[in-house]
Amino acid sequence: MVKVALVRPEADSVEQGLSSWAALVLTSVGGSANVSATDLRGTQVTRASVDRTVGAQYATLFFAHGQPDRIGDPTPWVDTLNIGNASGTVLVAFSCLAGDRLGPDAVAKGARAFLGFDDILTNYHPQPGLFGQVVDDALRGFLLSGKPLDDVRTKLLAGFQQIESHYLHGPGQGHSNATVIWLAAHINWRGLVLDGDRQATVP
Amino acid sequence: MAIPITPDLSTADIDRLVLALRSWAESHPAPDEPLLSFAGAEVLTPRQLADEVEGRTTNGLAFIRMAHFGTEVMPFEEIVAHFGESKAAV
Repeated sequence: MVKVALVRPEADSVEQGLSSWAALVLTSVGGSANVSATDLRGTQVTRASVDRTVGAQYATLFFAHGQPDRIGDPTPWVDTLNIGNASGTVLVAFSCLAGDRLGPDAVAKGARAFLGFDDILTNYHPQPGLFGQVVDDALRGFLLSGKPLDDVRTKLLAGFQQIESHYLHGPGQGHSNATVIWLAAHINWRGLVLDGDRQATVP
Repeated sequence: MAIPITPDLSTADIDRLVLALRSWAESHPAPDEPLLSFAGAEVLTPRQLADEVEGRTTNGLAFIRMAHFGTEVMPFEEIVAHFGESKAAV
């Protein structure tokens, strides 16, 4: 069994929205005979529990606030001081900004790969909504079908670009939220970053 | 969260964006329903989004940054105009 952890602090309404993305992913992997998922949720998320969890997984997926140098804000769950615990593992961060400095830092300190966002990560509500579906679709091939991590990046890119196109030029352009939606999708895809081994696959 | 510095949108540009957002929010079919989240710790409604941009709060600066990068695919004046053109939810 391949071990994967999902970390979702749910400390406020923004993180609760991101958590609904994680719930979709958990449902997708729930029936897998190959993937064992650990769900670190709400008050279970502490610096100590993250330290214990990250190094024991093939991959850890975060659904939390971020800063350029950390996942977690204001409490840093992962930063330069403990990112070395992720040595040899894959990190995916659905967090604002963490792909800017923490991603390269993680790989420099031994992480196999880091997929995240180097700018603001937006979420269009209600939940899990349009964006959560993109995230779940992108991760499914990696977690369940042997696709490389770069396939997640490619599918996130394509998924957000499709939403942008639909509401910018397509049938969705008359929607009351059309401009907000395509602007939000645009900044999401342009901020995608993947450092390290792009060909990492779930064994 | 510290919002990265956004390349230039003038004060006048942002004021026009605020006016357009206010107009859009007031004619929105669900002006007080959760709509969008990013930097801050709250999910914003259309009315709150207009307030936050006007106040240049963390959330407001994040949206201004979104609007700035939107100019990669649409001129700023058109983005502003589109808020005025959005109609009922589909």
